[in-house]
Amino acid sequence: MEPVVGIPRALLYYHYNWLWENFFNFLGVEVIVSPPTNKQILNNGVSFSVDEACLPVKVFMGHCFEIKDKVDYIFLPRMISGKKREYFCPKLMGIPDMVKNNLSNLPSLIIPTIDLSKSKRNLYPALFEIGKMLGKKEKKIIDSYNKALKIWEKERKQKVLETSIQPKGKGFSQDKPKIAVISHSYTLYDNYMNMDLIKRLQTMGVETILPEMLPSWAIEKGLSTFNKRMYWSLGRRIMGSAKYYFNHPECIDGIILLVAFGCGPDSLIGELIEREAKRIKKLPLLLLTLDEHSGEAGLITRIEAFIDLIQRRKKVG
Amino acid sequence: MRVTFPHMGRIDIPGYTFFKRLGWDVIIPPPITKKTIELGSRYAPEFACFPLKINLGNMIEALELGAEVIFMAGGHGPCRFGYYGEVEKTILKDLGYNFEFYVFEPYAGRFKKFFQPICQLFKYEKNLLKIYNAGKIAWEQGKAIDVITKSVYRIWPREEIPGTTKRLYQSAIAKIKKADSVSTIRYIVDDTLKQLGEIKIKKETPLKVALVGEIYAVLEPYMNFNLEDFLSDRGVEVTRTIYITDWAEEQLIPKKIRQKKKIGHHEESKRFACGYLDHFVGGHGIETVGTAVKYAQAGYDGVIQVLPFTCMPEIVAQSILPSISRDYEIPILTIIIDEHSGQAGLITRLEAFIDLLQWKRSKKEVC
Ligand code: SF4
Ligand code: SF4
Repeated sequence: MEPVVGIPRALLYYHYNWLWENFFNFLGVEVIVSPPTNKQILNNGVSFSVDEACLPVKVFMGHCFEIKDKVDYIFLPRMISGKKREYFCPKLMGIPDMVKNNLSNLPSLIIPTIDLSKSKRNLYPALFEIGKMLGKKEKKIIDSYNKALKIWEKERKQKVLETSIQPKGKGFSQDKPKIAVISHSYTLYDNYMNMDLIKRLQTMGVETILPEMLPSWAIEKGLSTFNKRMYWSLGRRIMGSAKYYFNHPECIDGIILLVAFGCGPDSLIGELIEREAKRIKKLPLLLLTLDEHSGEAGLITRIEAFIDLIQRRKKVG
Repeated sequence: MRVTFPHMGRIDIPGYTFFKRLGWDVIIPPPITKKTIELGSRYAPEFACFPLKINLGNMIEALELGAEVIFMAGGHGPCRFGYYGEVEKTILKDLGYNFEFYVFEPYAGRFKKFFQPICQLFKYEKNLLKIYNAGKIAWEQGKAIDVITKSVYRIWPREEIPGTTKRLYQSAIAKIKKADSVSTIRYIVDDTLKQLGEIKIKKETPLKVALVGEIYAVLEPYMNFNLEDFLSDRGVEVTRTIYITDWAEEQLIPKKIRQKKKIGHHEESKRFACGYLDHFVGGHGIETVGTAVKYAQAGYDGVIQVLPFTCMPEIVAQSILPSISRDYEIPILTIIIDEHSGQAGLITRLEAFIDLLQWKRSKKEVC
């Protein structure tokens, strides 16, 4: 019997999904991903976390609780850094320990440390550790990883829309307002957490541009106009895309900045972005904060008002 | 040139000395008051950590008094501290103030970045020896305050005549503030330690509590409502686990040059935290967990964790501390502070905590 590995559908799963899933599949291990967030998962997460934790961490806790009795292992990578001199947020670094200390009756935990801040080669010991726990040979591990990586990179490339960043992009209809939604992937793609924001925007007749659609050169170009080096990997995408749009306001009609309640990095990054938007006055910006009590009605009212504002500006301009 | 820098504990004393000796006018921000907090919270992002808000309040008050140059410390992540400077600068500029802003960052393998603000200093002061000497006296003052403080809080809860230690402490600080040479400072330290040793103390061992948590919350009495004094007055010995000069040593001096034989606070904490928190998480997260374990093992009666609301590394630590509390049967009190915290509520909690510790101790003595 092959062991079953569980992956919580939360936090960085939304970024690395196929990479992780395929890696285990190629290793010949069965993978169970917890179901999309629902009320039950959120409530469990809230009750097993300290009050002060951010919403995505609480949701993560709920997903761990959801799958812990259905699997032999839970995959809980400790994400320190994906690149030189960059870091994930302190809570992502500490999440395995938070899970260990707050949930009981856990299955075995696979906790490789992914820290590429000094060297890319640090990835291999982490992979071997996973393999050892599952009793797999080193060659098989590397092969599976490389295969999974290739697929994942291809998928990601397909998402990038070069057209999206050309002035009033071709391929996008001219009269529809174009709004860039900037956020962490685990807030943006967890439809329960964000109350289906993207679909809502689209049915309201908005062209949405998601962070993954912006090519990395644009992100880097945006970041190069930020005073301090951005050391949060996830913050890079957020700050970089906002900066890029501020420098090229003709590309889009507005920005929605979606942040989770209790997010540390975003409390500062969001402030800097909001202030810049106010200062340059070229792009309307809406800051939406999600918490476990967010109501749909309030959200809809705010989006509608924002779209109205953009429509009016379009008519004038 | 009028320079300023935000408060944190007694950093004002060495800070003043350093800049003054370079021949500059120093504007120390007015002591932190309600007004400082109000100013800071009004203009800072709502969910920024509390120290940023107090910093900002300090800066505004100093700018109002005519400061032209602001110095600030910085970092390289993963915590928020690294962006304090950027955020504060942006807010102050938006408020319409005119000033220069320099951030000192710890050495992180990049000479250029590290020395940039120092080179900026050179714009105004080219005499290297003068900078070195100013730095030396400032450092000595900082060290002296830390050394004395450590002893003070050991004696204070044991003193027979209430108030003796505090008086001595205050006069020592005042003397250090005035001292203008390394030898004078050393003399003051020796003398104060001697006098502390002569204070009459009670025989019984007081309750012992370790104070852990985020550095600003631990070091700044205004923020933690003078917790150390409060507990000492009630006969509880508080062992503070963070001292500014120890921390600065670990931050500023590369590992290789630091004394080999002395293992740093960070390294030590890492060992103790093993099994509870297996990786550094920025800030003082691992120190909090590690020292909690260390003092639990050392037989302390309790641990108090202080943290600013939304502090990321401490939230990680906070979710782990209950396991330590359970494993070592040691009560741990977590105090989260922000601009809405009130002293009255805190005092009630602290008193209840002391009662709990007392009760536990008496139970132990019976068995
Ligand atoms: S980046 Fe923000 S939302 Fe993500 S784990 Fe950290 S604090 Fe939470
Ligand atoms: S340690 Fe806590 S309070 Fe200090 S900067 Fe980091 S998050 Fe803010």
